[in-house]
Order: sequence, then structure tokens, then C-alpha cells
Amino acid sequence: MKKRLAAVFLALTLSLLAVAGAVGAEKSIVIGLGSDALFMDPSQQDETITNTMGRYMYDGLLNNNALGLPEPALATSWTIGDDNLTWTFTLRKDVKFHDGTDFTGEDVVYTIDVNRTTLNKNFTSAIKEVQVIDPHTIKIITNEPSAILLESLASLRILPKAYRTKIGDAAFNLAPMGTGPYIFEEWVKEDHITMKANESYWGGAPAIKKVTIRPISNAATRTAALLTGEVDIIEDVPVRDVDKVKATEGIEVVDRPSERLIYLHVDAHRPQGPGIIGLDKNPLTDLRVRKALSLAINRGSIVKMIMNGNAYATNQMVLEGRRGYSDKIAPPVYDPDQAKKLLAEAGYPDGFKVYLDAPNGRYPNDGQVAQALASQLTKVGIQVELRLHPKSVFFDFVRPGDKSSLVMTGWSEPIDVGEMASVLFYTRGKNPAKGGSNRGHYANPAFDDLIDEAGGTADPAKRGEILERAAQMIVEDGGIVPLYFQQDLYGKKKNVVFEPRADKSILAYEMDVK
Amino acid sequence: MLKYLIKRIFQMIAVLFAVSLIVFFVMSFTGDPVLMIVPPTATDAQIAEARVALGLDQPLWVQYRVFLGNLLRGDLGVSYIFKRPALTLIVERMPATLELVFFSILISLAVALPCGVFAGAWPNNPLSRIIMGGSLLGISLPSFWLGILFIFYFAVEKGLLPSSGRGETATLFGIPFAFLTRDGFRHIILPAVTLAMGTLAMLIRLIRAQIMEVMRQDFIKFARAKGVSWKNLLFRHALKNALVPVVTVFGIQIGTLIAFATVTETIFAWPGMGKLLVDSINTSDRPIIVAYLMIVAAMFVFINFMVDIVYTLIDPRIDLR
Repeated sequence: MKKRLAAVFLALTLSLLAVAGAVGAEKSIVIGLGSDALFMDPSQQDETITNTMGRYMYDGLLNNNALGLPEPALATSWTIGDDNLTWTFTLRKDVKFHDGTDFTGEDVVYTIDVNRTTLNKNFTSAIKEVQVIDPHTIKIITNEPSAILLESLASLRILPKAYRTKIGDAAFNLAPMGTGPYIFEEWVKEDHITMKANESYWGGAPAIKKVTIRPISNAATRTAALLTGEVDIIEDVPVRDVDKVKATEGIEVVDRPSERLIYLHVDAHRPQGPGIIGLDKNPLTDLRVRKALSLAINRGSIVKMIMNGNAYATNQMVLEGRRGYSDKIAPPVYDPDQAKKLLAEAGYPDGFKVYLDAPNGRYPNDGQVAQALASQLTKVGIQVELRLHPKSVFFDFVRPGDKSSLVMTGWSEPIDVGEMASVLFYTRGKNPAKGGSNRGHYANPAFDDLIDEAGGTADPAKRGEILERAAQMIVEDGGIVPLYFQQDLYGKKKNVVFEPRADKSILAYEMDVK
Repeated sequence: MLKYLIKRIFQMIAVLFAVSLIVFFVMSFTGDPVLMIVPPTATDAQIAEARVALGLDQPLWVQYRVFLGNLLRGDLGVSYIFKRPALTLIVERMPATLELVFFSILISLAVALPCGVFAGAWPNNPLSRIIMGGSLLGISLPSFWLGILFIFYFAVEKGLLPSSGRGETATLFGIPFAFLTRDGFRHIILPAVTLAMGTLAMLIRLIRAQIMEVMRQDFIKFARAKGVSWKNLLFRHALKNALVPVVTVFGIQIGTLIAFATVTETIFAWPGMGKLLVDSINTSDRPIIVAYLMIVAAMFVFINFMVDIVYTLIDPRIDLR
């Protein structure tokens, strides 16, 4: 008791000194986001803002850097055993949770167990077992060799075992605590989240001492809050407001290619396409028709006319720097004459009719983009009947893939082509864990083999090389028609030092206010 | 009176039951909540598992039976998204909405009563024409447009008021309210005026029409002949006799404002329950939507009941039986 009193006294004195030293210089920031966090307990759901809060208040064994690549955090180093299954992690010493308890290997075991039971369980599916060797050494044994273990671990935020088991998970969500650079203060739902700096953070104390996060879902209001100076930085500046924000003194716009790709699923293998109108065969099974499809699309004009230039036309599946980006994939070409010629060669000189299923209101300008696609494809003879769906029913409609042959949708891939393809393009029904969202029923055994081979590789570089081949294969085969990467747009006061991150989190720890 | 009350209570229960039936079955035809909840990488097995966990694998009538059973115990279900009781989530947000609605009603009454009475008493006065023109605008302008306009004029251009949010709050009886602090009060003004606009304009037109009607009647002429002052004539004799239809509409308007302040709340990032409804519709969070609509229905039924009682106070000739 005496000891604790002394400690409290010491802490008080120190904080008074700290306050005295920083009077008038205490840096704070107000961040305007598009929505509120669903949870403060990061183990509950893999959702953008929940993940952002996870990065503020917690750490992983690894934390992703701005490019989305995992770097040592609570684990300082690791080795892989000769079996390619056993990973030994050395944990950082002297790390404390915000309540002063020590971080140990038990917290890691607890975190992985908790995540196994939540919507985050896909991050733990590769892990067979976790063993605590000593408080600062753990062994993780995987089911099979895994090249994405580090990425998965970076998605798991370490929970305080003692505290969370004591107060229960529901209470924990409202009074969260981790080892991260910021300490939770208050969460008034849909109004604000406030946090203060963790002065004893293992990575060094943050420069910005107080963070307020305000969810402002209406984009125009969010812009207005930036223009009035009520917030210092906002995410998702609406494309129509970019010019106004740029023209305002003291405020600027920064952008970065988004990880979200907008693309088409193509029904390349089923002999009868459910979305083909008035034909008892499926023209899309012909490679020439699939090539014509890509050639008929003018991505450049869609980006320029519909996205106001705020997107990046592409023929790739992932951004440069991610495994599976391939220099060998040629940039997209727009050649309607060649498309017509290929259609005629394939036996469809007058074209054919097909439904295009697309969401309306899920992605920026998605409905208009789908309309532009429809008119461009119709010009070469692929007569598109457009079916636009509101976002709450769209994924339900396209997921089984039994009603459509051409689907426009988006995918945000934080890891690599292997992860993306095993969900979206792996042959359906072959492996219960794969191909669940293969809306175009792409079924290419050679492609599946590459994805399986990548899945069984523990060496990231080798996995990258296999995935490059896979990406090249499916793009050239027309199983996917990539259209464009979206753009992340931020508006900020000029005195705010900020670099956009791949994961879209606006992290005060990496920022400063001048 | 007692017999009437019992009859009304049974009516209310019947109405609420019908509402629960309609709301529940209509909701089940909207998007599949399971796909909104599971991660995009989920396998078919995980989706099936989530469906079982939420009880959505059961036939619809079984789901309804469970829902009704829980409802009778006062349990409106647990949000699929937030995993907390729907009722708690809604009640948590209620003070913000009630506060906003209270101020917009205050504004509506403060403006509509004098303007409506004036325009009704002197319909040919140029000022009356201006009032009527203004009310027409107020009815026609959509609130999302008006809200944005207010934000850009008063907050961005003039810098007079904050653009959004609820600002600082202070607690009264353990409930946080914004109007108790200077900062919070400044935050209420724009959304309250935006929300008030439609009601205000409608009340002006209604009061005017009623007053014009009453002014033609004999007792007004007698009152004037007797030498009653204009003020007393208009606000005691005329207005009181014009009020019955106004109270009916006003009651419905209060309900509508509370239930569907959604647009205004979304524009001003006001953390009320309307915003919760919009978010829940976007995520197909059925328990919250159903709970919300049930609460709203209960509220409307109750307000209408109160309106009937108020009739008797205004006009003793109306008999509840």
C-alpha cells in the first residue's frame, strides 16, 4: 500500500512536471472520420475504424507500417524451425499495459484464443497451437507451412488477459486498454472518442498528446468541419469537394492509391451462363470473347469522366509492392475495333446479350461506372442489360454466382494475390475453405495449383514469385477484368504532418502538429 | 372514463401487435444480415455458422415466435453488429434526439403561433403575404439541402456557429445534455432550426386557415362589439377555437420529429437515435430496426392518446366516450 502510494505520488509529481514543462505547448488533434468505430475491443471484428482504434490503443506482435508490411512490435525477433511449422518469437521486455501490468506470453495465448471465437477467426485459422516457453518467449505451431503468418499476427491486437477476464468482454469493449501509444479516455457513440498519449510507450512517447476522433458520416458536413477548422484532418474528401478544399487557404488535400480494386468477375467456364440472355451456350467460355471484353473497356475515360481523375486505371490485381503485382502483366489497352474483330472470329459478329450485375451506392460512383461500362461494351456488340442492386442486397445476390455471368464489384486486399484469389477465383466446391465468393465460377485447375503451392510455402519471396505467375495467368485468361484502383483522399490543415497509410488509418502516433 | 381507457389500451395493444407483425415480416425481405457481418473472406461454413448463431436458419414463423416471446419480456433483441441489447443502444441515443426535437418544437411554436394568427386575422396585409410565401418555401425545401446550406453559410462562410456534432455536454439527472453548456447550445441551433422548418411552415398555414374560419363566426363579432381587445380576441377567443385540428397535427408532428429526425441528425452528425436507424439500415442490423420501429409505433400510439385527452381540455364539448 505504502509502495503504491509512493508510486502514485511520484507519478503525480512527474506528470505535474510534465504539464509544467509543456504548458501552452500541449499538442492535440481532432480527426474527422466517415463513421464511428463498431468496437473498441479489437478482437470483435475486422472493420476499418475498429482496426484503427486497435492501432491507437493496442499493439500486435507485429504492427503494419504505412505500406501495410508487418514490422516487429511486441515481438522483437523470430525464427522458423526446420519443419517450416514451428515459429519461435522473442517478446519485448518491460512492456506494460496502461494499467501498469506486465505484458507476457500469456497475453498472446489469450489473444489468439479469444480471436478464435470471434469474426476475426480467419486470422487464427493457420495457427495450430501456441506454447509459452518463458514469459518472453513463445512458440507458434502452424497447421501447414504459412507465408502469411506474420501478416495474420499483425492483424491480432494483444489483449490484457488479467484485465479483460476480470471485467468481462462486454465491459472491456466500453473501457478498453492495451499497450498501445494512446490511452482510452472517453467514447460517446457517434459523437467522439478521446484518447491521451501513453508517455511510457515502448516506442517512445507520442508527439501529439490528445486525440479526439469525431465520426461525421455526411461527406459535405465533414468537409465543412475541416473548412471551419473544427477538425484538423478528415478522411474521404468527396471528389466533388476536392477543388473547394484545395482553394481554401491553410488547407490541402493529400491522396494515395487505395487498396480497393474495382473489377469484373467473368463466367469463363460454365457451358451455360446464367446471366447470358437468349442463348443456350455461354460465349464467355471463348477466350477471344473474354479478350474482347477487356479491349472494349475504356478505363482511362471512366477514371477521367466519372471518377474526376481520382482513381488509377489498371490491369493488376493488387497495388505495386504487394505479392502478386507483376511487371509482366501488360497495361490495359482500349481497342474497340480489335474487340469487334475478336467477337466476329469467335462466331458472334452481331454480339450477344448479357446481364451485368453491379452495386449502387457501395463504392464511390459505382452505379455511374457500371452505366459507362454497359454503354462501352454495347458499342462493340456485347449488349449489356444492367442490373444495379442496393448495397444491402448486392452481395447476397452475387455471392452464389448462380444468377450472373458478369459482376462488377470491389475488393480491398491487405495481404496479397494468394489471399484474394483463394476467396474470389479458386474453383468452387473443391475445398470448403476456398472459392466461397467465386461469383464468376472461374475454374482453372492450373491456377488452383499455383494458389495451393503458394499456400504451402513459408518463404514470402518464393510465395511472391508463384503469385506473380498466378496473377499473370488469370488476367491473361480473362477470368478477372481489373478496372481501376480507387483513391484515398484526405483533407488536412497545412500545419498537420501526415502521410497516408495503406490501411487508411489516420494514426496520430505517426503524425505531428506544427 | 375508465371504460374508455380500457378500450383504448386494448386498441393500443392490437395496433402494436399488427405493427410487430408487419415490421418483422417486411424486414425479413430486405438484405441478408449475415453477409453484412461476416468478413468478406468467410467460407460457406463460417457463413452457415453465423446464420445459426443469429437464429436466422429457423423458419420465419419460428423467428417471429421467439421475437414475440422476448418482446413480452421486454427484450427487443441484441444488435447483430454491436452485440449489445437493441433497447440499450436506442435508449442511449434518445436524450440527444429528444433534446433536439424539444428545441425545434419550441422554435416552431414561437414562430408559428404569432405568424399564423396574424396571417389569419389580416389575410390581405402585405406582411401576411410575406409570411405565407415564406411558409411555402419552408414546406418545399428539403431538409438535407437546407441543412447543408445553413452549414455552409453560418459555419463555413460566416463562422458564427459550429458546423456539426453535439459539442460539450453537462449532465442533468445523470443524463448528458448539450443545451446546458454554452458550447453545446451553440451546436443545437442549426440542427434545431433545420428540423423545425417543415413543422413551422405547416403550422403557420394550418393556424392561419383555422383563424380565418373562426374570424367569420358570430361570437367574434360579438366579442368585438363588446369591446374585447385585439390581443384577447385573437389569442383567447379565436386561437382557442382554432386549436383542435392544430393540436392533432402538432401531436403527429412531434412523433414524426422524434422518430424521423434521421436526415437532420445525419447531416449535422448529431449523435441521436435517428442516425442509429440510418446506420442500422445500411448494415441490415434487423434487431435495431425492428426495435426502433416498435418504439416509434408505441410512441405514436401514446401521443395520439394524449392528443385525445388534450381535446377535452381545449373543448369541453368533445366527449371521449
